[in-house]
Amino acid sequence: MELTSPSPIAAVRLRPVRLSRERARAYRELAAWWLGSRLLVLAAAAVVQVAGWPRAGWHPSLFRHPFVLLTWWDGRWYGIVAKRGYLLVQGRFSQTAFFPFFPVLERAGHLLGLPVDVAGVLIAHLGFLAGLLAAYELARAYLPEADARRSSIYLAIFPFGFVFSMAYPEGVVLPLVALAGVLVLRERWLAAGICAAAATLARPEGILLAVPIGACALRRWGRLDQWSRTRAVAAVLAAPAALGSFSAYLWWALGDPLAWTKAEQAWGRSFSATGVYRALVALAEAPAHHNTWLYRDAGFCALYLLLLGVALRARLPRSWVAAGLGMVLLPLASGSFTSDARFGLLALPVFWGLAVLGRRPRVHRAVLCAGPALLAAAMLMIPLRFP
Amino acid sequence: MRRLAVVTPFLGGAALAALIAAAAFAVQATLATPTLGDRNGAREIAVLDAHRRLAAAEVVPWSRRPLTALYAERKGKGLLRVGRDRIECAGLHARLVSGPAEPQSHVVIEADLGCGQLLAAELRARLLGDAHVVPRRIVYRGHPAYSFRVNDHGPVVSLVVAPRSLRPYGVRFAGRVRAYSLLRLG
Repeated sequence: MELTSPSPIAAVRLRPVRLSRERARAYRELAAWWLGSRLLVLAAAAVVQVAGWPRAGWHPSLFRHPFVLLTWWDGRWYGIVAKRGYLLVQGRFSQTAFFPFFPVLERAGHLLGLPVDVAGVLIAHLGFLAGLLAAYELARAYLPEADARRSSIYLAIFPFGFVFSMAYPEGVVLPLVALAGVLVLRERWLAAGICAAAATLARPEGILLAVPIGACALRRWGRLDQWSRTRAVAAVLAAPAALGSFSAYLWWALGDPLAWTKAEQAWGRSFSATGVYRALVALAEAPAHHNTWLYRDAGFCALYLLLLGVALRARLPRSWVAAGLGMVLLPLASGSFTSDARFGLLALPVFWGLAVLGRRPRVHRAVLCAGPALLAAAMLMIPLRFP
Repeated sequence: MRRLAVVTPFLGGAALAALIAAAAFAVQATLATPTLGDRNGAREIAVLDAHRRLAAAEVVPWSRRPLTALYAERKGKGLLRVGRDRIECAGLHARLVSGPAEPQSHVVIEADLGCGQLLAAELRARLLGDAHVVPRRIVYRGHPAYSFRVNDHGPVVSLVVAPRSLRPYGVRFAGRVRAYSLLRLG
């Protein structure tokens, strides 16, 4: 296994920003993988809807509500935020658990004449395409070109990647996370900070971008001038500031700056020192509570940790691995493994680790064969359990 | 001077981050803000949720004495007694457990008149749907009060509450049958 990788600084200096032939070919290939994987997801969603899985008569007509499956679960909540804004009902499921950036985009799409649900699915799809390309660009800074391309291909066909086709914010956060990384390597501090802030406004995991941005700023601090240092500090603080702005907004709109954490409690989530222990207890008691779906999320969590370990062993940047670790493990501190499979999708070093393993042809072939099959099969889960 | 050079990037960076936060706030401000009625509706649900027992006296015009409805929640399901009838309420569903066979709409009306859980669930469905909660200022049995409609379809069911505390006074029902119930929180 090849463990060497070019240094990020050298990579940025050596590779021109303009679209080289190699890059254009990679973009075309990744766009093809995006198109193929999304067609597979859409086809599977259509089959599930037409077949009436798991209960006939429950699904609306495909012609009246095409791909309704992609707007279910949290997608409905984001739609409600886009249409009506926030409202907190103490002790009950409330919109305030859902971060605002994706509904803002849905609302913008609605103002352009699209139904909110259609706008959400369309934004998620386009965002995912941008995300694959941006993730490739970021991976190129740390990995050989073939590995970088493979990491984005694996992301496109990852079994849980059907979420990137749903009216969920992951499709928007992915390009923002990757772009923040690319921009910070090019010392475009303010642009990186804005991406980190937007990612945090869409998903709270975005705040972890402060770790790789901070690490990069620290590494280059000595040779930065005063103005660059100022912008670097702003980039590090941008994500926490965006989270603060969400609290400020909730305070202004509802009179409760912590409304988003209170709403999480209705879903059985509350951050505490014993959160991980409670998550493990819940996992042990899952069969007794008829919640065996929790093992799906716990299984993906274990896979993510394994791949982060591979990324660390391949000497990929520790700051990115630490951020990825936070994305996978911090949700457990809220007392549940629920949805951890989805949260880990934004941890890019997971896919870098998979790309490192994919240097072995047998592993590469296995991922290429199993990925699309599992991706299509995963669509069957949507009516049964939220992602 | 040297200390100033060290501190300046941090102060400037914090100021720039604050500008980014302000821009983020402005982006969020493009979302719709809840109306005062919706906010009161949300508060009312919390008031109803906070009380697991509710006593209701149902008053129908042709009856000499009000029927007494007693509501108690047990294991997530509300049980409402109206005379000899027993109605089970869960979420938006009301089911006649015992008593004379009645159309489902009557069962729901009976439940609406005395089941805090069902009232809260209907109010919640309204808040998540396309309708708004619009409070009307009224005088109810000599007291100033707010009345707001809780359901979107069918006959009008309005919850009458105290203006500040939002403590429920009663429920008004106006369809082919006009009735009201007096609520008492337990």
